[in-house]
Amino acid sequence: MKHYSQSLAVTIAIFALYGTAFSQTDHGMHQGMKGMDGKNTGLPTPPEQFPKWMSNKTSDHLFYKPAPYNWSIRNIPAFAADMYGTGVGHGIAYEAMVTGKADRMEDSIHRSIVGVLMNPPHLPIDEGAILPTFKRKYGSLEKVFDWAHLLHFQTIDVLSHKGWSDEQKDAEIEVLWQRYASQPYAITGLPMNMEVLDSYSYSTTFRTKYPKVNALFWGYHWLQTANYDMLYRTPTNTHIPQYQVMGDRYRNVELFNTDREFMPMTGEMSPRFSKRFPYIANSFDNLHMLHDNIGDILATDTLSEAQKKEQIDIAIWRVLGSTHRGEEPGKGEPGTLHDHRYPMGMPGMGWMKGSTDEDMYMSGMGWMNMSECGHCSIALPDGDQWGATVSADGWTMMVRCMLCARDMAGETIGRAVIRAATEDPNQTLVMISDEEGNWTSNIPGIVFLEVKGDHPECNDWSRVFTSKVAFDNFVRSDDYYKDAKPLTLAEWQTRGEGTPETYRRIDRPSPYKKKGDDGGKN
Amino acid sequence: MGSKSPQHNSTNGKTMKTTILSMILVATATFGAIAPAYAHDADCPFCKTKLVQNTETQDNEVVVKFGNKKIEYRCVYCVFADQKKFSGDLIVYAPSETAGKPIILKRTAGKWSAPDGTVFLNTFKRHKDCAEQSRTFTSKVQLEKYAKANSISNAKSLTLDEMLKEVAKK
Amino acid sequence: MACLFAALFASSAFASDHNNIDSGRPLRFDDAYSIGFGERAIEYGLSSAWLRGGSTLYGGKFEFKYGYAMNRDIGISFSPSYSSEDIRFNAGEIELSYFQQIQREIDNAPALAYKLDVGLPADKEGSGVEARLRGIMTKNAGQYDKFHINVDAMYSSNPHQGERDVRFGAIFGYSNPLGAPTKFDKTFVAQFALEQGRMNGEGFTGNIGIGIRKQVSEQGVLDFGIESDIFAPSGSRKSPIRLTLGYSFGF
Repeated sequence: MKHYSQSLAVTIAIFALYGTAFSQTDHGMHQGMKGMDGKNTGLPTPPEQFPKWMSNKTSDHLFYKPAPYNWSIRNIPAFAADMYGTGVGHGIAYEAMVTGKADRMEDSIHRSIVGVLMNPPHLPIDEGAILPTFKRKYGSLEKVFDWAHLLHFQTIDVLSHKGWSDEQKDAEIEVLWQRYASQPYAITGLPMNMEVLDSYSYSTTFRTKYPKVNALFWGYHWLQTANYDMLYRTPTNTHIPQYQVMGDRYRNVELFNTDREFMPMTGEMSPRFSKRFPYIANSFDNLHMLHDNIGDILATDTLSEAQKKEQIDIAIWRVLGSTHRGEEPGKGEPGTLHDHRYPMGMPGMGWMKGSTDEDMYMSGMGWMNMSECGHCSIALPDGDQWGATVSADGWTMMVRCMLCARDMAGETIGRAVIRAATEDPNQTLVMISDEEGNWTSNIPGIVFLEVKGDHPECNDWSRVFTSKVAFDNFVRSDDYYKDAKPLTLAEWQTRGEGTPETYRRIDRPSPYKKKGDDGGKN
Repeated sequence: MGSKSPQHNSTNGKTMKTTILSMILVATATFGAIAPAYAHDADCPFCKTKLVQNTETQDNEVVVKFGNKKIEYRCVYCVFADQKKFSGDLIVYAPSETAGKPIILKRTAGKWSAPDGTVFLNTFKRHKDCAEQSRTFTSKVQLEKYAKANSISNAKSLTLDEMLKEVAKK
Repeated sequence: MACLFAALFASSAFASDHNNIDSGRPLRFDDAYSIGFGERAIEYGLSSAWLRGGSTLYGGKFEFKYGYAMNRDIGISFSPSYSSEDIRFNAGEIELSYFQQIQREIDNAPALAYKLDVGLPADKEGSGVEARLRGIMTKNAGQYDKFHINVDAMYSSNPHQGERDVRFGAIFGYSNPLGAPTKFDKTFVAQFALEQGRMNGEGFTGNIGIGIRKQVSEQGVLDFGIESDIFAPSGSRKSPIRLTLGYSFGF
């Protein structure tokens, strides 16, 4: 991650580089005056010209790519049902807001959406049919949503598909992205400044007025983003047991979490997938932010019908790939619509409120540096020995080694999932713990190396092997481990080293905290 | 940083590398020449406010041991208030008046127990004060000493049963 | 008989979405929406029509459809039949269809589309070409009620003695997705259809029908319909009951 000076020279250089792009910044991203709450008081103004397709009068419905993996999500039936249920929420809320029923949002509308999410359909729902009035008013928005939702589902289908290698799946996801990005309705895969996108005069209106329904939306955005690390490069026979943990969390906690300060980000929930496919992660986040923008616009009573229509068109335009053509990730003028910087170590995430070049804040997780281990704060490794991810308590974090994974999971309440590199790049270990931290493994006979040393080298002295033979081969290759004894899973799971000496915490308040918040229960 | 190739087999090399890395970390923390390493920054599972770390002179972390898990809480009140999350037996390492010597509370088959003489302070009104004002002591004398040193007025010494009743009341 | 068959099994579009209404599945009207660009669909169905006089006409229809461009689809279908009266099998027609949407529903304006079907005789007794141009309008009323109007102009290149070469028809259709939003997997359909008689001077046949389209898998829709001719020109053959059962599969 490069450091971006805000000096005049750099600003001039960026302007020169992105002359065309910045000629538009006075329009769709018009900042206006900053209010007391940091929001812009003026409304964004439209670009000189919207893309032509936005005034098309036809449906322009695109079908998904024919492929053998389509609907493989059915291999995980509970997940499929929950995902089908997510097709309903925004539709019901949007339709209520355009048909004068917004006053029922937190009561009957909320109950209605909860009813679907808790008893999800076993077949996908035609979202368009849920919101006919909305669709008649904002047809171009539906095209953007539909096309992005297809990418969402097909990438999940690829990852859920049985019988393909990880390499085949990676290649196919690339193909799907190219196909997606080739259409005019495609949302940009560039990271976008989330603070900018969430700072218009209407921003945050929906979540403020309708916190319960907003929690549902962000709850299923959690599911839609968290599932990728569950599926990515993990054996398909682990998907159902992994989803038992994730699904419980989704239905019992995430859907009803009104404490979340910002929408879940894909890079936050699925860091490994997002590092591999940053453009897809970014497009999903930009899509979800568009959802938030639309909800905010519709929920703003001071906007006329015509203003709402215009603001929705501007919101669409802001995130389209065509609006950012020629621009590059990691570049762009800070604090503008064309700010494509990303947090250190996470190209699959836009710039977040309060971020610095080194650290960023994630709601419910606190301050962090995504290039570092979530447990010991040492830089994450690359390559085949990529470490592990830990999913617990609603978050997923990357860690350097098995000790970091175990101890981090061991410090959280509830079940957890560890996905980890083994000595065999083609065998990803998936371990699931019960409430008491007793682990089960998808690979029988795994053994662990744990010869406690300093954390800067923890990914060397704390490892997992698919067999005793693999362990023996490794320790034979390194004199340092010649006396090392293999630990069985039963032995390994009872260990615990506490907080590493290298762990650093940032004692800084949440950037989302408003004056007077005590940040907790009274 | 911190990674090692499989061919690496020198103990001296490992030590040197560790030393260098440790020095970088120390330098980082001391001078801030490069960005310090930040990581997962947990809140108390119950009150959602920041956990208070131990210091050299005073323990603050309340740790609940549940099976293989060790969960940190901000204060003993938070532990008792959140205990329904755990279905089995619990061991709680609660800070005492002496750093490094926690008081061990146990919940066995649903029943709490504490070492003889254990008393509880629980005077906080808002959770921003709970780490300071909801604590465990080996004796009433120690509690009063702590209250005086920390200017806590109306400090009342509670037994385990009284403490549990206090929590149940809120 | 081939002509009667063509009327009973009017060409149909097809989609894998229960809420996308296409003629023949199970009633006669279309909505103003094509299948998706790049979508392929297979549809098949069986129908039994009990004719006044006691005979029964059994028909089948097999269609392949392709969304070859945005808002446009083309299809080819085969429609063999068997008549208990003639005790013979009829290969029916090979029908080619083209559908194009003109506009979607925008604010209060309805969705508009048109469809052209051309039927070529596949049976040795068939002759001439039959074509139908259909104008289609779809409009929502309220949240889920949808009304559809289809207006048909039918042309026969080789009419028999005394038959019209051009005829007209109209269908008033209604659809409503059932169980929304919790069990949103069925659509109720109903129609009132009028079709000009084949013979010169003949009036219109009036037909009513109801049906259901049920999503049975992510890609498949099962449909069932029942129709009845409620009036017909004197001397023409009314069908008091006609049952249709079909399945559509998109991929």
